[in-house]
Amino acid sequence: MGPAGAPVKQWKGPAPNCYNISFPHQRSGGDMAFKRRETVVEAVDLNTITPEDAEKRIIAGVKKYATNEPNWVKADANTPFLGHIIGMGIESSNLADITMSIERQFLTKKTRRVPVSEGSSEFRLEDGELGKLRILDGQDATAATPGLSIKMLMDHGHMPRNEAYLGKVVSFAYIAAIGDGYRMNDALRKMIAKVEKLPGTEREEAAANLRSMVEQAKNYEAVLSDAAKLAAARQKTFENDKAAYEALSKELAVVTDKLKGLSASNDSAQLSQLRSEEAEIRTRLKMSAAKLRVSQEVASAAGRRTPVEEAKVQEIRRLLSDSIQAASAPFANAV
Amino acid sequence: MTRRRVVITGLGVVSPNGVGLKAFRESLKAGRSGISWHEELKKLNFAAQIGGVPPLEEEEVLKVIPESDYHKLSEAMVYAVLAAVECARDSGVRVDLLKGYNQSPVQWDAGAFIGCGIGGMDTIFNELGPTLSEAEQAEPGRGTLPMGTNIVPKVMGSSVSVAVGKFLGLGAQVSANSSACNTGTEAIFEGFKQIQLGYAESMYVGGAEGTHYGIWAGFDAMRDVLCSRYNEAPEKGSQPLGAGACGFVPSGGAGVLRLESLDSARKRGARILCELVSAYCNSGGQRDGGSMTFPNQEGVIRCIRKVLQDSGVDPGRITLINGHLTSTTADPREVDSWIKALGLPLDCFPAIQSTKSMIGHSLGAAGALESVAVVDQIANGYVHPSINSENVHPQIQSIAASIPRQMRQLELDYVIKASFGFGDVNGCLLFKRWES
Repeated sequence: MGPAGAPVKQWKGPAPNCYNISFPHQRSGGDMAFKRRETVVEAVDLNTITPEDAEKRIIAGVKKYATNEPNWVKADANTPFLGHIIGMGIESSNLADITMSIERQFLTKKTRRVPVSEGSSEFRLEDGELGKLRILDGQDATAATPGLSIKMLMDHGHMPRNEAYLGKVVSFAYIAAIGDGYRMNDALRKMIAKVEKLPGTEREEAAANLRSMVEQAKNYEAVLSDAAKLAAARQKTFENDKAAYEALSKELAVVTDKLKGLSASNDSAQLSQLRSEEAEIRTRLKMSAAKLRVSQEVASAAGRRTPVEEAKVQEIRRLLSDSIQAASAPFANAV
Repeated sequence: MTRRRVVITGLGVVSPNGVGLKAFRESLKAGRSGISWHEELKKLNFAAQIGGVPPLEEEEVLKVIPESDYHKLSEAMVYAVLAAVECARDSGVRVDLLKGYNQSPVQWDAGAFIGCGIGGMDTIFNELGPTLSEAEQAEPGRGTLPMGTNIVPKVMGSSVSVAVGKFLGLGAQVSANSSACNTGTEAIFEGFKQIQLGYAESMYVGGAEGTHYGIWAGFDAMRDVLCSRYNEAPEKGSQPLGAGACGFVPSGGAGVLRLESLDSARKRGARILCELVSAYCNSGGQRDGGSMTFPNQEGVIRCIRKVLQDSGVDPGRITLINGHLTSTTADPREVDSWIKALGLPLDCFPAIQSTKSMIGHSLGAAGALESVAVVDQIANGYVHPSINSENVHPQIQSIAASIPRQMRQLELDYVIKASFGFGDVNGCLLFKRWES
């Protein structure tokens, strides 16, 4: 009931006959606004198409959401969705769109959702009737490129594994490492351009920043040059993430024990406080687990380097070297 | 505080009777209506089945807006962006969104105030509603996911303004207003203040509105507010000042003007179209005859007089009134307000026109589209006809001679423009011819 005792109307959305009208001008005889092309996507069974065909469909679908057009003009299996990677995976809001785009295009037999173990809140998908593809929470954390999305579909049994195709897919570890290199290179190029334009004292300050960026770029270029060095750096990140995860797990265990001890008593205030503390830790733990999964994947893959990855690494190393060299001219003049 | 002078250096328009300034001007001069009949409205059993929709194909849109961005825009946002890009180009700025815009530098001294009356109704009907209707069948927490992440930017109140801010890289205040049919005029007033007070050197201002039937349905439900007697002759439906006026004709589109400080315009050698001398907005307080849907006449008169007082311009120097004049029973009352506010003998009453006679009432875009028409008339020395007023409404016979039925070439010194909106809100602008 509403505040004045009046019944509250539940909004059920527009009347059903409105749904098949996607834009007024698309209606027969109606020419009420500029016509948008109707984007009807026919979903196909993932078991009936090749990885290459699936890749084409993913690229076409994701183009709708991509904001980095120059990057997407020549998009392929190894093009990151937005040309950059943030945090533990690709930017979460875009990940949602990309995953949704993939789900709309494919059908799978893995449609029956069952708990990972009895009473668990985590689920996996098992064979059932052919139906809509469903990507479960966290499964897409490393699906940063069309190729890695296909790998995700294969890893979760939605389509047959194809090692020949996967051999051409750059791992998430190298997508992230190469992405970092491009970001560093872009920043360096922008700073070089900035230093050249600035006058007097501002120029000196910017030159100091440029000097520190050049050092960072040199160090990173050195890390990229050696797969073992890169693996060691990523392993360190993984160990830090693991330590953080374990600390949180201990925190949770302590709170859970306290809750068990208190549940017999009637101290509702303390009980409530502990429950909210537990909920908060569980949330942090879930995020930490996701981060750990990604850093584990990165640490384990960084030490191996396929020919495709090697070529990409060499390309970014070359760009970084060029930028470092270019930085020395204005840098020297400025100082 | 010193108030800086504000001039207009660019225009952009998406209108039912012409997309782009050139087409719009040609239609205004020719007295060409952009109103047509829509079968869909008949199917939905609307009483009023006519409306004004910009004649725009998707291919034309994609010549300006990158396809990947286009999907993230509602209909009103598309109109606003097209008008703003034309406006920027008209003011001498090189803009090519298809060649990439993300790398262009931020224009820290330029902002946007572009309003919208109703907003992304097309998005609400076509994307949000259907997803929600399926959501109750989905798992907890998953129900809303299929709508994707572009919904909020397409339906939020500031959608049209921030879309323009994004494409043009604007760094001063970028915001939106909404005051029903006064939205476009109010947005110009807001931008005017920003420049007058020195917060920005340049502001893209105006309004945009979509044409989804969901926007028009509420007005149709009011009966006699929309024109339902001219379904067989749509071009005759919008009759401001006419004897057969029986309700307004809904429409959509966008108008954008670039306001600029005189100093800035001179500094960059911009072509100045005219000066915005004075502007004001107020409300009638919904008292003394004023209501949610009808203006308090005293509020209207005060609004017009305030603009005249601020400018110091004698009403006798006004050569043209571009009225709100919607083709409803409120038109005679509006004319009466103009007569009282200006206080001129009737034989000295300036010309009075309604752009809505050709483009219908585009709600949140109306004041902006009409201001574009005003500035274009001043800059090019003409007065467009107020069509469908051959038979003048019996209550305004006294000013019948002031209504232009044909296009006239005329130098316009001062032109006053007003808008009035639901909620008893008023806005008035005074433009002056620019003499270099």
